[in-house]
Amino acid sequence: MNKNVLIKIITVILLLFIYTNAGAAKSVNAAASAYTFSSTYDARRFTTLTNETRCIVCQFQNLAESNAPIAVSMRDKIFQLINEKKSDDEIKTFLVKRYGEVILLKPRFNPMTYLLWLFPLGALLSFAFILRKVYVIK
Amino acid sequence: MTTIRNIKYIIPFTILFILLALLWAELSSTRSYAFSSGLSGETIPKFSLPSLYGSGNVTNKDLGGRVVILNFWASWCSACRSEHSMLMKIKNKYHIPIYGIVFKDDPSDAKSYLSERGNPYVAIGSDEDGITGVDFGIYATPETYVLSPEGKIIYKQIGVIDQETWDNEIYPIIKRYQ
Repeated sequence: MNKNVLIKIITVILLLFIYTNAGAAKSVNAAASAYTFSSTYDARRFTTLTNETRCIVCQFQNLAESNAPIAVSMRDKIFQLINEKKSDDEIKTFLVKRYGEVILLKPRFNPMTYLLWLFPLGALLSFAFILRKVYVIK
Repeated sequence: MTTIRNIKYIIPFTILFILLALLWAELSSTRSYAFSSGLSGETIPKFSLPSLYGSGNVTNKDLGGRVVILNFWASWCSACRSEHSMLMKIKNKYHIPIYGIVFKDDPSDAKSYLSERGNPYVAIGSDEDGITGVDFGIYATPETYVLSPEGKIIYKQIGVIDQETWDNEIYPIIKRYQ
């Protein structure tokens, strides 16, 4: 492939990445700005939590970006739980109990998700083991 | 060496076969209407919502003492419209008390909806901000819970209740607790 074409493709991919992330950051801030927090720390927690939670009706969006009615109520609930001085872990446990581990875009590392987290490592090690066997024998 | 070469070809197919078998087992065991909630078997979340009719509140305490159905609905929900005749039938033919929580709806729209179609509910709480819905872990409307006399969740359904679901799933559970 021509070197210039390759550079152009990489530039386009980088620009798309920056554009989509800027859009996401904007909507996250928009979601948080609808609420009045007692501290900037709580506002940051809200932004992080809604950014790391999946919208249950439009699963390719996070809670901060979604305008679905249930997503709005879930943001209200997270805001309420933050005001009740619940920790991030307690809020995540509340959501997981009702909607399952899938609600978290970054699943926690626990017995339910060991396979999810460890499978790629296991697959990589197995692949390396097979390759080694094949090439050593050759 | 031949054995190793054979294993090299067999392993990907074995993994693929295992994954397909797991997928098939999962798909064939899933019933789209019945849904296991993390709250199953637990006491329902506390709530106190303004009554759609009258001046008082509808609370979780109103639901105890007998098997009841709790139905989340909304006048803007088209699936709720197709479920409505079944709810009327449950009220009139099977005489099971149904409580309603009207989810994120304008109370006047909800009242017009019921005046047109009939009211199957013993009492209705108005969850205008949707927080009670989230406390129950609802995904959308309609969603229906069957509650034991102790106020525990014994069945949850996402989506419309039809005659088949009622006959095969919900009514047998209710009869067990009556």
